[in-house]
Amino acid sequence: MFGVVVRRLALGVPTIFAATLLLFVSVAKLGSPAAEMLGQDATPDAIAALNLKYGFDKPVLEQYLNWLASALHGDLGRSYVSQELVSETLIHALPVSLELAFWAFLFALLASVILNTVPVGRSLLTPFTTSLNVIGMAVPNFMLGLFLIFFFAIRLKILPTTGWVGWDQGPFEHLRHLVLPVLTLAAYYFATFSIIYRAEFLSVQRRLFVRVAAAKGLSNWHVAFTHILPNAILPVITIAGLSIGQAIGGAVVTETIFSMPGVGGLFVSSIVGHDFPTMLAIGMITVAGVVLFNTIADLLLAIVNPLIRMS
Amino acid sequence: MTATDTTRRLEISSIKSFGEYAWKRLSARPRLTVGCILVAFVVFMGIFAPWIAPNDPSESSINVLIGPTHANWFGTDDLGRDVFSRVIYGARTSLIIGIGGAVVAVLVGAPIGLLAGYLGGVVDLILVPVIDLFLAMPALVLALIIITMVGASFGNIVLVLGFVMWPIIARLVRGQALTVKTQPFVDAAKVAGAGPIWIMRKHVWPNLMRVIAAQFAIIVSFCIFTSASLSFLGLGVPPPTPDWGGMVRTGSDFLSINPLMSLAPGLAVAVTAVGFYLMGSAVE
Amino acid sequence: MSALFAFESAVLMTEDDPLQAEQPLIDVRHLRVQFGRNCALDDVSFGIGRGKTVALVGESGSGKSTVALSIMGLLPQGADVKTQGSVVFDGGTENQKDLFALSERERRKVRGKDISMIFQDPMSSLNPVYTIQSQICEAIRAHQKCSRGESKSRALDLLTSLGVPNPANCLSSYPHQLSGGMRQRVMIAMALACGPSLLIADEPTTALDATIQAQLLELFKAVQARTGMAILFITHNIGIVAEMADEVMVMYAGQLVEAGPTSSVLQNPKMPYTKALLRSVPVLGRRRQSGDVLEAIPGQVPCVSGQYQGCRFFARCRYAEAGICDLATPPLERVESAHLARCFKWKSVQEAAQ
Repeated sequence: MFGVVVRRLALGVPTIFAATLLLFVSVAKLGSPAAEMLGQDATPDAIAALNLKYGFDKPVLEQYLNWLASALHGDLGRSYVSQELVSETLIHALPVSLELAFWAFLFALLASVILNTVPVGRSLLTPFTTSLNVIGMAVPNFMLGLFLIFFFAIRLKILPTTGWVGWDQGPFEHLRHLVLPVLTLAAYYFATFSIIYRAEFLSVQRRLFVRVAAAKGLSNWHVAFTHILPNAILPVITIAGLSIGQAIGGAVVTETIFSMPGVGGLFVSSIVGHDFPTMLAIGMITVAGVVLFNTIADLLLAIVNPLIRMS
Repeated sequence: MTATDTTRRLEISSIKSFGEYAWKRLSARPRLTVGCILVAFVVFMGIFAPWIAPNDPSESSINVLIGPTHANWFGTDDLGRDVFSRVIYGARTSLIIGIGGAVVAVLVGAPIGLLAGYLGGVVDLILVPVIDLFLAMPALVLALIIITMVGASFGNIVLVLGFVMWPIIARLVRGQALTVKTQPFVDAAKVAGAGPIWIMRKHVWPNLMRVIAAQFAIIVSFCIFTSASLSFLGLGVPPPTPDWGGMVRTGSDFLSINPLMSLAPGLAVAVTAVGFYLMGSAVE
Repeated sequence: MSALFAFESAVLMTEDDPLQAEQPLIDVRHLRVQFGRNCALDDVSFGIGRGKTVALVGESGSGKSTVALSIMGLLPQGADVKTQGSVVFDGGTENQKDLFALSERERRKVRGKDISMIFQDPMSSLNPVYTIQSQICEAIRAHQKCSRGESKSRALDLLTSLGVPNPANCLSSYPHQLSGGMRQRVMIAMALACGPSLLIADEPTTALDATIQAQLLELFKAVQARTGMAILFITHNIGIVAEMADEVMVMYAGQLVEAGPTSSVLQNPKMPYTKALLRSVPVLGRRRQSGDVLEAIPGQVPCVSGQYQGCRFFARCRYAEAGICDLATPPLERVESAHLARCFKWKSVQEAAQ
């Protein structure tokens, strides 16, 4: 089990460095950030002074190593735009994104597993789930979010359109503001899980031990939930880890539509505003997140599956 | 007469007309049928846009943000342009970007996957981690970063989308090449003295075409999806080209005044992406 | 001869048999199963007496497993699966049940409690993610209310009685840690958990080594002696039939083609298919002479659909006569007091042989 983690990290940690280096080099090729920051009527002297201050005049590799050294100490630099500490901004934004992702993930997992496991009414449920899969797979998040806002917030007026309300203003208001973003983000997760889980469920269903369980006199529900589910859910765990990257993209869009103060929204504004320290930091967090979640997925798989756990 | 003959005769005799035959074939593959209908509809819109669209898509008027009327089926946008005509013309932009991106993805991904899978060894060892790295990265985030660097233009968006999607093709082609490589007819060709390039072209490539075609449609869908998302985030095709994602972006500010201004192009994106996705996933 | 016919309580009958001394434990009448246009079972009728072992023999695809699954009510569910006929369990007693008339809920109470089943492949018949203990206890608790501790000690007793070495250790293992023979013992333990009066064993030893196979056969006999349950033993191994069964039924292409007391059928087969089947088995201790070739039956079991006329073995039968055998389906005829065969020509074939 320990080996699984080591193997993942041995590949993952260099990946994080490689990705940030790539990002850093390409950003540096864009031109002088100093000129960017000072605007069009900056004097050459002012640019040179700023270059000196931030070390923009040094070789790219040296700049990267400096950045990396301070990043590893928790110092991600200051935003070019707001002049605030990037780490400070991120600490406020990260919980928002993580909570959004957590609920969406949970909701998608429960919905996809339950809808594909329930042994009754398959003739109605299957077309329904299949349509949801296609929608989740192919309909862009922003489109989904917009439709949800239009129906639930503008037409029915039962949910708020956009925005974020903290826990301190009451859990009910907080969760009410989360419903639509969570549904929007959950769509992609749902489709990914549902497609994999369903295929796996059908193949497990054909295995002999399922028939044996039925021969014991267990009900269809019992067989589906206690015998097929635990076997069919294993690949979903792997896919959940692998799809985290694509889901981050979905989170960026979702946070933008619903004007949430999360990392995704911050990322878009940092790109639009050419705020490279923020962009780099988020890039690093994204890659680290991908690596981390893949490792967790492998670990979970090892815990659930006795075959791997024993070896 | 054996029993098998009886079965066969029964099956043939139970089909009464060609219409029934065609219906059976189509209803047996509802995914493909629905996908093809949706795609055909959008392609038709795109090709015949100048004849279908009632108005010039970039002609402004003083009637800004009016609701649906006889003259403007989907109302007008914030500059008084006809939303219906813009949605129709938007099909062109979306199709060109989607198909263009997928073509680039195949042009980049297929040779790389073929090299990795067929040559194996060191080449495979180097290429596979690169493919995996790109696959794990969020396509949209990657596209956002690259677009910022190279600037948002029509051509750049097509190239960037292709660049973001190529690993999907590369992995697929590599897997296929690996399985095809181990099949006896390739060995037979080797025994006959064929070189690796010849074998690849004559034996491996044709086998790959079907899989690539299916994946191609799915990638078109992803490209349309992603380019619309880029536009929505403000980094898409620059105005005034009618572009669905961009229309949704501006329209979302006026959702309570003229909802169709954003919902109509949004629905168009959804229909197109779903159509290509269904087509691809049905063949897959 | 009298020994051969000492099976009067054994019930193998056709519908026009009014003289049944005692109702059998399970009475299958006119069982007909169709998968789409494909007729998997056609008018299968038989009974199994209490405490008897009946072997069901036939090639792969002849419908043996379909018989077992339809008794269990475990046929794949689908619009194109049609089942007709009746299966009466425990007829003539208070517990009498017409299985096909029961609701799914009541059917479940029979499954695993009154009738249990063991499957062919022990390697894949246990759920890989659960321990043996939880799987045996599940079988116990499916029909009996008892505490965890109780069910655990019951499971332990079961494994001990089945001769599992170190049963406590076995209980805490996962399936992949056990050998095939051990897994099949666990399967037997699960099947016996609620004391069924009928055990359906679908080729339970086919996938195992010969030595393990012999051990398990002994085990079946011992358990049967102890509990008095009846066994429907599905197999294609004639050796096992001779060893285990009181009666034997031969299936071909979804029909019973011959049935009767084991010794009678094995020593004096009437239906050409049974003859061929027996000739295709090598017999230990009987050295083949030159020219005495181990026989293979040419062709395959036909896939029978819809209205099929004629004997189903017609195309492969060496005695077949066009104009007779291919026009109508031969009836299951009484050839000796309890011995039935489905052939138009069994008399002439027998005469020709003598």
